[in-house]
Amino acid sequence: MPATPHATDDRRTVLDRLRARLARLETPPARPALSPLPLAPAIDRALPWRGLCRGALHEIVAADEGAGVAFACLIAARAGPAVAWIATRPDPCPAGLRAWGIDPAGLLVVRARPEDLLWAAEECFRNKALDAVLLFAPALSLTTSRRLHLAAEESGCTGLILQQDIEGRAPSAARSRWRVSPLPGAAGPAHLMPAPRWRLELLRARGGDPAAWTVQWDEARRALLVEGRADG
Amino acid sequence: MAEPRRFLALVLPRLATDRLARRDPALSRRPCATWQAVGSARRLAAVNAVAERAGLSPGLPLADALAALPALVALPADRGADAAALRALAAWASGFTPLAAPAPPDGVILDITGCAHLFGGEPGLLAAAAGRLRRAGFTVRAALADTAAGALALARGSAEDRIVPPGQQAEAVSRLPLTTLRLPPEAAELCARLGLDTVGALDSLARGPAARRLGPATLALLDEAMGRSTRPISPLRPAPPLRAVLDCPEPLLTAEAIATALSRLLASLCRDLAERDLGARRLGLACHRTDATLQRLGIGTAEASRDPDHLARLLVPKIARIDPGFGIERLVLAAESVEPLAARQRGLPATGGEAAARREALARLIDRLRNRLGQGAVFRLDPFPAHWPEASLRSADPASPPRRGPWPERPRPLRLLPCPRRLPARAPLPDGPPETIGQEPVTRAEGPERILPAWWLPPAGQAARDYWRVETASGRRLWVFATGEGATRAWFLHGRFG
Repeated sequence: MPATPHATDDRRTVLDRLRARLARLETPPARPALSPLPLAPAIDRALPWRGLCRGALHEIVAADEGAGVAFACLIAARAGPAVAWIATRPDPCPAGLRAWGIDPAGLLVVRARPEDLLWAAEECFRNKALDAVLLFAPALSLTTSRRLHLAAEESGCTGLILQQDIEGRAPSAARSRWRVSPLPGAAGPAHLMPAPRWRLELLRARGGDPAAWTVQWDEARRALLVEGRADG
Repeated sequence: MAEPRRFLALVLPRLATDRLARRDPALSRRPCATWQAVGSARRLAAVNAVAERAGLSPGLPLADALAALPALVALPADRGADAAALRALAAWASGFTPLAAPAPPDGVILDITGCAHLFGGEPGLLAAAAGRLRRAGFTVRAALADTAAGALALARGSAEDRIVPPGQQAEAVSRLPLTTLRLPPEAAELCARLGLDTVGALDSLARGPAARRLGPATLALLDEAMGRSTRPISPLRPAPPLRAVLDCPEPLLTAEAIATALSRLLASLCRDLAERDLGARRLGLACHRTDATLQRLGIGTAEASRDPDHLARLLVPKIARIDPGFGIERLVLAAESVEPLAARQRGLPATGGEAAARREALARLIDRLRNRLGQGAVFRLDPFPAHWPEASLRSADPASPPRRGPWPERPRPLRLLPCPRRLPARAPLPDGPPETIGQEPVTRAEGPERILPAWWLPPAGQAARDYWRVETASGRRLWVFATGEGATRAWFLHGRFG
C-alpha cells in the first residue's frame, strides 16, 4: 500500500525523534568545556587543542627521568593544585617540586604494589577531587589506557603517564605522546647551573602532527621558552 | 525452653510531689500539690500524702483546693521533669538488671529474669529495690509478675508489695480495677460507660466485638496483663552504643550473603549516626560463627562519614578475609570511633560549595586507596626540621591541615632517592666537584653546599656531606654529594633535577 503523505510525515518525525535520542545516548552529557592547558604559545599552536587537553591521558616518554618528570610536573601544576603522584616507589622531593609550580600541600603521594598500580590509578582518575595525576607505570595495554582515559574524561582529571623509553610501543588511547630529552644548558660559567634545557618531541597527537622543539625553563617566570623548532 | 521471664514493676504514684520534696525536704511535711491547666480550669494533677489526708485529690479545681486548705503549696506540674526523673530512676535501676526501662507516666519496669538469685531471691530483690527508693523519699508500690503490663497493673492496684508466683498472674490481675491497666483514654471511657470496672470484667467480653469497639491495642494490653502474651521491654542504657545487630535465621556462608547483611546493618547504623549528628571514623564488624567463635574486621576513614554507600565500598572488599566456617549466625557492626558531623553528609550532594564537595571526594578517595594499599601508602609530604635531606620529609595524613613550610631555600632536586646511591665519580681536587661520573664528563658543577650531621643524634661520627648540583655532557642534571676524607672520600647520587 503506498504511503500517504501524512504517513511519510509521521515516519519522518519518528525517525527524527529516534535519531535525536540516539545522539543523546551516544554523546556524553554536556559539561562545561575544559580549557586546554597552555604550554608555550609556539607549542600550543601546533597542538590540535591549542594547548594540552584536560580530562585525557598524555604519555611522556622520559629519556631522562628528571626531565620527563619535570615536564609532567609543570603540566600538572597548570592543571590545578590537587595532584597525585602514583608509583611503586614514589620519590618526589616537595622542596624541588615547588620550583615547577607544584604546592607540596596539595600533593597526594600513593605507593602501590605493581599489581595494584593500575587500580589505584583508575581510582584517582575517576575522582573529581584531583586536577592531575602523575602515574609512573610500565607500558599500558590499549584496553587499560582506554579504561583510564574514559575515567579521566569523566572526571576532567589530566593524566600524565611517565614511561620508560622503549622501542615498538603498543597503540594507546592517550591523546598525545611526548619525549623529553635533556640538553646541555646554555653557555655560561662552569661553576653555575644553567636553566634546564630540553628537546621536547611531540611523538604523536590525536588530530595533530608530530613536531619537536628546543625549550628552556625560566624558573623565575615559571614559563617554558621555545628556542626554536627542532624537527629533524 | 527458655526460662520464663519475670518482671518487677516499681510504681511511684506520687512521683511529681516526691520529686519536689526531694529538692525541698520541708515540702514533705506540708500539704503540697501540683496543678495543670485543663481547658480553662486549673486542676490538681498530683497531691502528696499530707494533702491527701486533708481531703484533696487529683482533679480537684485549684481554687477549691486552696479554699479548703489555704496552707496548700501549689506548684505547676512539669511533665518533662517528671519524665526525666523517671528515666533517671530507670538508669538507676540498671544496677539490679541491665534490662530496665521507664514505664510512663509513673513506673519503672525491670526485667529481672535470672537476676533474682543475686539478691537472695525475688522477695530480697523486691525489698532491696523498693526499700532503697523509699529511703530516697519516694512512695513506691512494687509488684513482681510474669509480664511487664501485669506487674505494673498489680503494683498500681495493690496497697502493698506483691509477688505473684509464676503462672498465677491471670487470677490476681482479673480482680484488679480496670484503671490499673492504663488503657488508652477513649477505651477507658467506653469501659466506664459499659460498667466494666475490673480487668476480669473486660476479659469476660467476647473478643471479636471487644476488639472492634475498644481497639486491638486495648486487647493486646489486656493479654499482656493477664500473662497470655509477653513483650520484651526496651531497656534504657546510660549511653546506647552505636551498633547494629543482625541475627540470621539461616547461617550465612557466602560472601554475597554477608555483603547483603552488611548493607542492612550499615543502613541501620548510619540512620542512628544521623540521629545523633555523628559520623564514624572507625567501624568494626564482628561475625559470630555457629561454632561459637568470632571473626572480626575493621575499617577506618579519613573523615567522619555516615554515608552507607561509601562505608560499604570500604567494607565489602574485606569480606573475602572472613572465614565463615560452618556459617555466621550473628553480625554486629559497631561504630568504634565517632566524631560530630554536620547534617550535610548523607550521600546527598554537598551543599557546602565546590570546595567542600572536592574535600569530601578526596577523603573518600584516600579511604578507598588506604583500604586496599595500606594505611601508610597514601600520604602527603610535610617538611621536618632535620639536617639530612632524606630525613627532612615526613609522611603526613593527607586529611590533616598541611604544614606549609619552611622548605629549604637552596635548590632541591625534583626526585630524591630515599637512599643515596654510590656513584663511580672521580674528583681531581680533594674539595672540588666531580670531573667525571662513570664515563661521562661533568660540564658544570655548582656548590658545594655543606650539610652537617645532627651530631647530637646517633650514630655518632657521621661525616659531613658536600652537595653539588652537576650537569653532565648529555645534559642530565643531578644532585650528588661527597663524604669522607682522602682515600675514603666517596660520591653518591641523591637526586635528579628537571
